[in-house]
Amino acid sequence: MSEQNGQVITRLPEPTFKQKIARSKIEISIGMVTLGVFLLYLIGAPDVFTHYQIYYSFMTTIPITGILALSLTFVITLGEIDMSFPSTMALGGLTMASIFAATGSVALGVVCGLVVGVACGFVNSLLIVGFGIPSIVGTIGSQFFFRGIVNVIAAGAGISLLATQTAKDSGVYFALAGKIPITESDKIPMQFFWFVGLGVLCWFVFKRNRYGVHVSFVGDNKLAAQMMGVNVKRVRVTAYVITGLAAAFAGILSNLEVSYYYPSQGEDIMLPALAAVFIGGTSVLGGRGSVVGTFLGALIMGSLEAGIISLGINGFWIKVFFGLIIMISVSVYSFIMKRST
Amino acid sequence: MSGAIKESESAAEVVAPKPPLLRMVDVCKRFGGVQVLDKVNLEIGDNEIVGLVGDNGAGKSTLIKTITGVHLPTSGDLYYKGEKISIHSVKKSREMGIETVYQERALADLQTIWQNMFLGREISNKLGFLNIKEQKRQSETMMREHMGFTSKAITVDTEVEFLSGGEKQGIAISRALYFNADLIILDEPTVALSLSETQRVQDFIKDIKRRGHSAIYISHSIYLLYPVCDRFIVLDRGKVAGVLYKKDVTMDELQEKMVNLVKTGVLE
Repeated sequence: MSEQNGQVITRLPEPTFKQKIARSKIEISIGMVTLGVFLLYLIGAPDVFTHYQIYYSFMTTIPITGILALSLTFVITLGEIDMSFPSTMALGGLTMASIFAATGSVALGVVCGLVVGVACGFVNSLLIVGFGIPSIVGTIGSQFFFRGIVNVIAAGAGISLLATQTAKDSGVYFALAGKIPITESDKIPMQFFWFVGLGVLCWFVFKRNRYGVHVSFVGDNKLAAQMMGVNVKRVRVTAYVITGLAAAFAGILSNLEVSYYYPSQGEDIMLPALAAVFIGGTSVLGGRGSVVGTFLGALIMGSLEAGIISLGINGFWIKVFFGLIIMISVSVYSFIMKRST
Repeated sequence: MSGAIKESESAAEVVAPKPPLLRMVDVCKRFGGVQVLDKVNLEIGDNEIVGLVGDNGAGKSTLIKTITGVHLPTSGDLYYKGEKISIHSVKKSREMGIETVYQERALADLQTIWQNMFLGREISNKLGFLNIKEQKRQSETMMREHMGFTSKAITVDTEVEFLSGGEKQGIAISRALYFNADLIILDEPTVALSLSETQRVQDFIKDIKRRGHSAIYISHSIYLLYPVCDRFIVLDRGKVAGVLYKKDVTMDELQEKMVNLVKTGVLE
């Protein structure tokens, strides 16, 4: 394009090391915190943390919080929030389990569950983008509504995925929650690969794709984005659909791991998933987000409970540590962001 | 220079009249019972900087929003490069080469300079994945060669919030120039800027002329408009009260005429 204008193309100067560091200060901070937390585990409970078993356990549990948090990074960078994802997760999980129980097909169950998740995303979009209701209000409403539907349909009963026919024979089960043997005794659960794979995909979409750039712009200055021809409504709707889809997927993964659907699914996931996004450096004010930060934030939030117990600290202390980690990390971000302006 | 252009235009008129860049014919705009634009007829020529003047409520904002496709005219026609514009929208007017630089600065502060430069027209493949290197390189060209940034502290990766108000408007204007907008609409671009920053924006506007583009410049200050404009369109209560060429009027006379217009309702 610049050649058409008859202009000289300037060679791009290489960024200095200092500039590179400054550009990734959030990722570097959260990376150091993650390293610190895991070092603490290792020093405090070497017996537990030098054995593979605890990491195997993390690899089955963290992906659920992690996938939810990854998807929330988009909606939070928009300067909005989705409070309904735990209920969407339960509704997606319930759909998958019911369809499987009725038809015996895991694949059909998974597809239907995901479709329901997308539908939940559109319901949120209708409220927030369509009717202009503030996202926190709209999704508190839909959160009760989706959970209510789960309560009515499930009527408090769980659904076993092993009752008359087993979900474990299916190829879909293997692809989503199978175990890959790495040594004679140790395995890696498939969920872990999904978490890493979706993390990489989210990073590319967030940093290297038109959509991610537009999410940051809309979160930063909605009017500017609109004036420059960004389809703001479509960007916002897509974000709620991404969260809905990811929530249903998390519900499905959770079903398959334990081969059982609990009607209370997702009830205690809201705050850890949101906290993972915030300690990862994504700003609740919008316009600034980090997928790498969210990924690492999920590692911290997802490991804290088991970590603290292994350190021999009384379980009643868990929430104190959760609180401290969140308060300290967001204070640090506030400090480094202020200093740079 | 402008005389030479006029001569060649009038010579060409005999063979095939070259249509003006933009022509508005009997454009009316009504909001409910209020007639905001009343049979507006005007033309913007090639490589011409036109000052749009008028008191508050004269209809300046509505006029430019009609040109940029924010509002549709209640009646009347718009012609761009001789062709009638039928379906008009913000997106379409940008595609045709009409860009607007707003007083509220259409930039996002937390995003980098290169992201702002390419907002809404990113270089990307079919799946939307960006060619970041190319976008950064072109932004670098724009910054160093059009905007005269020399500081090493400011790079294409700098977030816009670190720039001064004048530099931000510079980005908005350079963005329009770079993407070859034929008609750049400047809606009070210097409101909220310091004196030296205002001067920078004035220099950017001179650059629009030098590069062969056209502009409509809206400002309350005759002192800002006069040095950079070729012609002035005076708007009063939704009507074009008069058109004045710079060669026919001094800055003081123009100022006086504007004051009288408010008092008497007639452009002398």
